[in-house]
Amino acid sequence: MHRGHEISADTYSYLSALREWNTTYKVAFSVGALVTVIAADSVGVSAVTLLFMLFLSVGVGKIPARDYFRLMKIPLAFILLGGAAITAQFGSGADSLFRTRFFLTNLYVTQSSLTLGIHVTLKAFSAVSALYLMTLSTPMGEIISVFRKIRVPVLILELMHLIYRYIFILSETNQRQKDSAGSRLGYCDLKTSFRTFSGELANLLVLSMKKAETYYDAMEARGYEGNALFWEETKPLTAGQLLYAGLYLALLLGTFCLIGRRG
Amino acid sequence: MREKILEVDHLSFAYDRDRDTLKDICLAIYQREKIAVLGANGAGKTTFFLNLNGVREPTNGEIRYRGETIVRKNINRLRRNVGIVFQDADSQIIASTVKAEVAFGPLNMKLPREEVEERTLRAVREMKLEDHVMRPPHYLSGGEKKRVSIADILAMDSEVMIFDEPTASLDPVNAQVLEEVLDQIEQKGKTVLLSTHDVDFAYRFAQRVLVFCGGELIGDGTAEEIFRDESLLRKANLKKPVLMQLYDLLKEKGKIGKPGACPKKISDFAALL
Amino acid sequence: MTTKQKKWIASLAVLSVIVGITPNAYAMHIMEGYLAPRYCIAWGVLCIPFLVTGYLSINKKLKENRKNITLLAMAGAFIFVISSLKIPSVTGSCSHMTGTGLGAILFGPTAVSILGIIVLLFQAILLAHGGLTTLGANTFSMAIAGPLLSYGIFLLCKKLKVNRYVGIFLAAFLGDLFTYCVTSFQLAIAYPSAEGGVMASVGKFLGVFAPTQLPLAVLEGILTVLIMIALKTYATPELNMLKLNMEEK
Repeated sequence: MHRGHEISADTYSYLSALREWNTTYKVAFSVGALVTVIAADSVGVSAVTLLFMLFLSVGVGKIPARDYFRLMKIPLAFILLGGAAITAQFGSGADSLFRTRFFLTNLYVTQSSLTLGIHVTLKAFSAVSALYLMTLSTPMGEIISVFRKIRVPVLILELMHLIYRYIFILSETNQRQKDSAGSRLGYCDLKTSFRTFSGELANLLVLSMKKAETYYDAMEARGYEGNALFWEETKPLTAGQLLYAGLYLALLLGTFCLIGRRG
Repeated sequence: MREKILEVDHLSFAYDRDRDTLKDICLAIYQREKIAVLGANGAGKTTFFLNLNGVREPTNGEIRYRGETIVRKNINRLRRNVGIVFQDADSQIIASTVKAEVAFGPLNMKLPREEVEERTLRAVREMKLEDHVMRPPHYLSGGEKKRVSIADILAMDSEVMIFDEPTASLDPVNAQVLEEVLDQIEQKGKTVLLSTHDVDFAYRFAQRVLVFCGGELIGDGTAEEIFRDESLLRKANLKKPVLMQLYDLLKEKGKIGKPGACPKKISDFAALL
Repeated sequence: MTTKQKKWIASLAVLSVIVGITPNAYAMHIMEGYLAPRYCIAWGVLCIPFLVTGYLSINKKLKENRKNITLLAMAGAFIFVISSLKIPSVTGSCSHMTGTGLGAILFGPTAVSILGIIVLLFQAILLAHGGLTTLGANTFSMAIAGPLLSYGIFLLCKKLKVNRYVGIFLAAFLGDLFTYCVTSFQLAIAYPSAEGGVMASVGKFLGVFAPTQLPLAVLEGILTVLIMIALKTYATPELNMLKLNMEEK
């Protein structure tokens, strides 16, 4: 079992109730929503998307709500810092809501910079939620099958397949290295920790390069001839699935009408 | 006489110029044989297997599959008909779900989609992996991964199946399951080669035993012949199977009167007493 | 308290807040949704020549020997794994290496561009670091600009006969810093300041991310050196294999 929590999107992608959805449709839906959010650049669209994606992933896909919010917190640090940088302004600071001396200049916040900051933050969360529709319901192998459909070179697809698989092999090996190093006091103080950490990685690299040859042999032994073919499941597209995209489009349309009437 | 499937003719193989990993191996493998390959680590067992499958090309000598000499052009015939279950399942598993993994070999054989699926699901059923079909290999246990790696080869339906140290790193229950699987495979009429360090297992399983030492084939005979050859066992650092030792001991003490060969299974042993 | 002291305390407070809310310091992946479509496309287009070069060079290496495919994939997985591991720390905050400097030194910058875009895509999909629409911008800063500079410095130091490990430290450290500057610039042109425009905005983004990124760059340099020292103790065949297959000719 993989113990790291870092690769949790992967775990959910195999458990989600949305897994049975047609892969291409799901990826198109997710990417379509993503592009809509950044292209529309509107608070209304961002808010509607954020809520609708929450409904899809948690309500329909049955990802536990607590886990979903924990996942939404991953980009929090970047979004808050980025938001702060966008909101805060330096200079003379005319018509500001808030102003303070900051070394040789003024730090201030204006109505427009505050609005922009909040707006960008909302947009970022909304975009992440659209991305999650795909990543929390589509295993990597299936995402790669969509890349194949859009004619990404076979070599890249093959590399993606292998890298995905090797990531888990290497992190499992590293977990074992870490446990065994820890059991021999390898992490007793900072200096030792650094030495242990870098030793582990050097070892991991050499090990992985050595293993690469065995892995190639194993592929070749099963008839691989320099063009990896992988099984792709065909998942039918049903009216039920299309209904959700229809609902989303209707909501977007409603939002546009509301915005249009107001401004 | 049974059909001859593979013929290895003066095979030598070297990874680097100064040292031969395999030296002048000659043997023939017949249909439905059960062969155990013994020898210390580094004796050349794995390299021998890779040569049999065609992943490694002999430096000298040749391999014939059903009379046809294998050269680069027809190497895929060999790969299709000789399957290897690698020792470390992780080094074999490459796809992101069990189903895609098992389907990898059949897809490479360019079979039609329906047949790929049928073979895959059959192999999955035979290895009792139905509950894991859509799971990724990285969330499986060691025993389950081993079963996946066996299903990989079953799906290819190779004539000869090679197991590189199949019992290494398996718990007793999984090792038991593996032996049952080997019985099933035997009933399907396959030829099985396996390498192992467990002489008791080899004795139980094999009709024929090959012994490698330092890249040379130093012994090739029935299990009885090989394990009776004290000097050979000493040379290859092998021990006599416990069952055989016990049999000899009981015979020496006059507990077993009837002449005959040493039984291979505990149940036969009980019948003898 | 003097005004000067007050200012110092205020700045320290701001600093501790920033450090406090970033318990997980990754390299600066621009988040999903942060860039307007025109910037997403522009940065993506800018990557294309580098990616094509990388693709052709990888393709050539594979034509020479098909077995390089598993080696390359291992290199990619290795870069992903080192960037997902927590660097040991005393404070309990966790930071992560970018691995771009090390990758560039070990595998060469052209291979790293292709491996880099795959790793960044996987980070976006599996870890939610970065995103699909910002993939172009992130690839440019982390898989192209950073590794190229790292590799250039590494070669320059070799030529100038600077101590090997000093060279490696500089390559990894400056490569990281450069990535951080490029990312700040990418953010700044997307969000210029009302007063002072892009340049003022670059300053702001450099400022907010400095507390996490500066220590990270130093750590990256030190760890890269330690890893290269550890690798040195290995038998030469493995290292030669790397060079043989990966290093640019």
